[in-house]
Amino acid sequence: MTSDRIRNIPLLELARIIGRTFVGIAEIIGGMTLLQFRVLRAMLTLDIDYDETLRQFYKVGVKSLAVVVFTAILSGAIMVLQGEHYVRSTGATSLVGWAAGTGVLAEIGPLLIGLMFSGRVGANNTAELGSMVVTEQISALRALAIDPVKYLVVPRFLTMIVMLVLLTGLGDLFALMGGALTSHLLLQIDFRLFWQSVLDSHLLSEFYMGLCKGFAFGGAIAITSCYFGLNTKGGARGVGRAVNDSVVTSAIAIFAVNILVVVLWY
Amino acid sequence: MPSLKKSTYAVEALGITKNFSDFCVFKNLTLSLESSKIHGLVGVSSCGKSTLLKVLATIYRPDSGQLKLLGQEVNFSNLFQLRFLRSKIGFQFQGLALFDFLNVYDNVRFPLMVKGSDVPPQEVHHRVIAILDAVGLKDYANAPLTALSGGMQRRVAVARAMVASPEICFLDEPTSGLDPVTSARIFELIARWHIETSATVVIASQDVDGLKKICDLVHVMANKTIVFSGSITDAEHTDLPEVKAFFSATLR
Repeated sequence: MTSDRIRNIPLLELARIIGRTFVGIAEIIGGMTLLQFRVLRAMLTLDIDYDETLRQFYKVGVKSLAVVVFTAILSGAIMVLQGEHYVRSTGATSLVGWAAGTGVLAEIGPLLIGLMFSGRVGANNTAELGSMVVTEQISALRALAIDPVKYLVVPRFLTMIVMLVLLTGLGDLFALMGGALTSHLLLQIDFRLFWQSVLDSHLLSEFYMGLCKGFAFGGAIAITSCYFGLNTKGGARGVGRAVNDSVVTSAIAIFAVNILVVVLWY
Repeated sequence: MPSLKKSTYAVEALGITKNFSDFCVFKNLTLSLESSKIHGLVGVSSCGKSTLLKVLATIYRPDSGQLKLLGQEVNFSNLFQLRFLRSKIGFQFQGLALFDFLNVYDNVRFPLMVKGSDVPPQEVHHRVIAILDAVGLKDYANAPLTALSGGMQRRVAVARAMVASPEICFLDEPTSGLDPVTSARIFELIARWHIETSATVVIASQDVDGLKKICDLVHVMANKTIVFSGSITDAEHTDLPEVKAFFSATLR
């Protein structure tokens, strides 16, 4: 059915669709790069609205704390559950802390927290900026001689980077606590043994890599969500579309940045 | 900061055209707005009044033509000049465009907190309260916007446009949705404020009776251009059908 439909599309039309898709992607990447450049330029000149930055810190921090803690505890528990079979069959209980720690600190923790952060804070950010576009609040800022990038995007960019690094660190702690609790309840591993196993594994490098990922994910989510918010077209439907595009693109960006950090790290 | 010599015309648009995709809003439009006068801009709904105001206020970039503000030719690529000129402009949007994350007081205070505002910090509070009092919203200073009716929000928007004493103030339907008493009060406020500041005021409105009371000049927009510019008296005596429709309208 689908292949028939594809076969029936004239070649020229197919080429047009492909071309349009590539131009659309290039436009998004170009727009985001330009936005990133403008943000960095404003930051270098210290042209930052500190009141708005503080407001964002409070909003982002409060909004994300519960969801990040919950995600982190579950991700720690998942890592232990995944390894449960091997631990039971080999009796290598002293390796549970190492297994959970490595997976959580370097990969699963930052990735899941980043995705949750994108869904919670990034989507909210796009919706807020998109609503400001459709209600002409962005035009009002321009009319007041205020650059919306400096006033709205720079504080969000700074906040998301700092908060995601902090939340990743905090999330690591809660993930390990979740892992310790799960291994105690399921595998009857003593808490002290679990934490000793984590400490003996020398996971500082993984911990730092996780923080670096938090930094990079925060930047990617901030630029993506602000770009789609500021480029919202149409009314309420446009805001919905922008949020959808923002969440999908942020997720792709998180995975792409994740690969980049891993490649650069090793 | 570049200095501005007092120009005869606060705004000069020479042959400007604005399109949205394939839709032409106005074409080859020429309009000169004398300084320190109150100008009324009238025209049927959807004729492009709001878009014209936004182009004149540099919010939209015209597709072609020349725009001069306060004697300076506007270069839309020169962000420094744009920021400077915008700091001399007040704008009230038809859709209000109030900042919904701020309360009434902070919305009105906003233009005074912008970098480059020459209002001393100690005078900011006095100014905000004075203008809120003038629009009858002093008691609502700390209220969130959501607690206000549509008409009250419109008055906040008018107050925000005027508070920084701009040299040019664009008001897009300042009395739309307001009762006759409040509308008259807003027009009185505009007239009083104009006497105090000598600013150039441009009001796009369908309230012809209100405009007749305070405007020095009116400009009628039709057929994607300005078809009439002149005094209220001239408008009432012209034979142009688009103008007569507004200024000599009689019920049949």
